[in-house]
Parts: sequence; C-alpha cells; structure tokens
Amino acid sequence: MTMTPQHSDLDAELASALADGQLDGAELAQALNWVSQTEDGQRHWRAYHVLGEVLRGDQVGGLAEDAAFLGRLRDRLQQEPAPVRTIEAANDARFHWARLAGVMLLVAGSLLGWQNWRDSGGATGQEQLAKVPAEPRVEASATMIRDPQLDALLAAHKQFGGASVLQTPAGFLRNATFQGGAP
Amino acid sequence: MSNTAPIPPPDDSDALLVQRAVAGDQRAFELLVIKYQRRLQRLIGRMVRDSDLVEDIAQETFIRAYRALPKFRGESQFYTWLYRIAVNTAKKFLQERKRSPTMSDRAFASNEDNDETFWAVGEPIDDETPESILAAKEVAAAVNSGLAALPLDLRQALSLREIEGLSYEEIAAVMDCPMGTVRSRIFRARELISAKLKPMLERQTGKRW
Repeated sequence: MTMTPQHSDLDAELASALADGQLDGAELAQALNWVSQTEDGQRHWRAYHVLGEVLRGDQVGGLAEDAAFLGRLRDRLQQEPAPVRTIEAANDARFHWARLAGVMLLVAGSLLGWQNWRDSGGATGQEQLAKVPAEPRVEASATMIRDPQLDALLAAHKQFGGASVLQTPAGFLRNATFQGGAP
Repeated sequence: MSNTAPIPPPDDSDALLVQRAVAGDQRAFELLVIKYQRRLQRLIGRMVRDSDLVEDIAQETFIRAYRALPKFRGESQFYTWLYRIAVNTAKKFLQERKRSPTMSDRAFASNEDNDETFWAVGEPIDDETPESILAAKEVAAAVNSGLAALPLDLRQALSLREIEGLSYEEIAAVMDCPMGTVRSRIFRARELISAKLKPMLERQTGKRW
C-alpha cells in the first residue's frame, strides 16, 4: 500500500462523501482509489465509520483488534481465487438481450412470412380470408386419406366464405344507420 | 448520545465497493471489512461467548462473503446479506463445536434458540477487558464531546446524516442550502472530530492505518 502522509482536503472530502454513498463518475473513482490504495485513505475511512457508529449509539469495542483482524483476513484473501461471476449471474444482462433478440427474430420472421404469404396469394382481403380454410396444408401429404364428409364440409365453408360474410353485417349496419336516421 | 435504536444511514457505496471487488479489486472488499467488522463481531458476539471463536466466525463470514460476492445482486442491503451469511456461519460453527467433546459450554450463548431476537443486545463478550471497555468509552467520549464542540451548522449536518440517516438531498432541503454545502459541512465536521479520534485509534491498534 502506498504511503501518503499528506492528503488533499479534496481526497478526504471525497472519502467522506463516499462513506455516505453520495458520489459518482470521476469523483467516485478518485475517492475509491485514494481510500482503497493508501493508508491515509483507509485511516480516514475507518475513522469516519467509527465516528458514525458512536453517534448512532453502537458500542465500539474491539477497536484494538481491527488492524490485526484485517491483516489476518488479508492473508486469507490472498489465497482465495478472485471472485468470478457464475455464468448466469455474470451474463444476466446478456441473457436478457438474448431473450429480447430471440423474440424480435420471431416477430420479424412472422412478419416476413405473413408478407410472403400475402404477396404470393395475389388476392385481396376478404378473398384471402375465405381461402384460408380451403388450402389446408395436409394436402401436401400424398398418403392422406380424405374423408368425403370433410371435403363437403370444407366446400360448404368455401361457399360460405366466398359469399362474403362481412357484407351482411356491413349492409345491415348501413341500413340501420340510414333507416334509423341520425338526430 | 441518542438512546434510540441506531439507524444506519442508507448507503449506496456498498454496492459500488462490491462491484469493484468483483472486478478484482480486493482493496475495495477490505473497505467493506473495515466498515462492517465491528458490527459483525458484535452480532456474532451475541451468539458466541468466546472472543476467539467470534473472530474465527467473523473471518469465515467475510471469506464466504468474498467467495459469494458475484451472487450479490444488490436486491438487499449489503449488510443484510452479510448478516445472513454471518448467522449461517455461526450456526454451522456452533453445530460443529457442540459435537466436539473438547468444547466447553462456556463458548456458547446460553439460549439454544438461534433466533436473533433473543440475543442480548449490548451484552459484552467475556474476553472484553477493562482496558478495551475503557478505550471504547474514551472513543465515545471523544466523539460526543467533539460533536458538541462543533459549530451549529456542522453539528446539524452531521447529526442529520449519521443519526437521522437523511440523504444529502434531504439534508439540503432541511437546512435550506445546496447539496455541495451539505457535503462540505459533513466533511468538515468529520475532520474536526477525527482529529481527536484518529490518534486514539492508532494508539489502540498500535499501528498506523
């Protein structure tokens, strides 16, 4: 640890604000460096915290053991591997991004697929809607055995769809509007 | 001195220090140790009578915390997290030692229950010597007399921060002054008191920090 018998008032003021968690940016970095890398910084850090404990009414016994305690702990910490984030903890943000990217990809794929399907159909709105049940994908299978009743049902639906279901309520609404008369 | 339950001020610096420690800065973790070791030892001292054992458990607690730092997500206060590690470590120590026939009952707090609510607050550990108790009283007297001797604005700023636990922003609102002034007042108050305190701390530890 560096010996710095003289400290600037600014260093100590920043250490004080750091103890209160009130720093950010360049000042935070400066304070952390001074407090963690210099003996003078650690002395201030310790004094500020002891002072606070006394003011809050805590008993501050065992002060004589503080330095010895830290020395022993430091020896043990030297033998410890540096703490490494586990994959899930360290990559939390990355996982969020990956999840978001996956969703976005799915949405984009769906949009493209829908657009292709619309473009290749060449039909407009109501015709396309009506065609959907008439073009079941199962027809692609050569081994598919079709039920005649199902064909009849599909044909009926196709006719029903072709007759434009939407026209009826639209006509009804138009009639209702005109016949009811607006106030 | 206030007799009410202490209110540790809210502290965002812990999370910053944890970040630094996880990034490989061991000194940052040591700052957390300096900050919390006395509080942690008091906590453990309410579970265990033997001061050597208290220190062993405190050391082990910090080592475990250091290893587990990457899992600390900042969803709770750092001390709350550390507290849980300390309680679990102490329980483990006690269970292991109870199985040991060479361990005397004197080492344990009398109550079998490990719930923190039964711990006698302020009950001294057996090995606290009259000298250490006296030293603690001297420190407390120096701090309190130092506070009383401060100019009113400095005393008020420091009290609002340390005793009431207000943020700089709140103190600025209470004292009707800019936040920069609050920071400066708190710093000057601490420096004036620390001028008396630091020689005492150095004398007690027998070394400069």
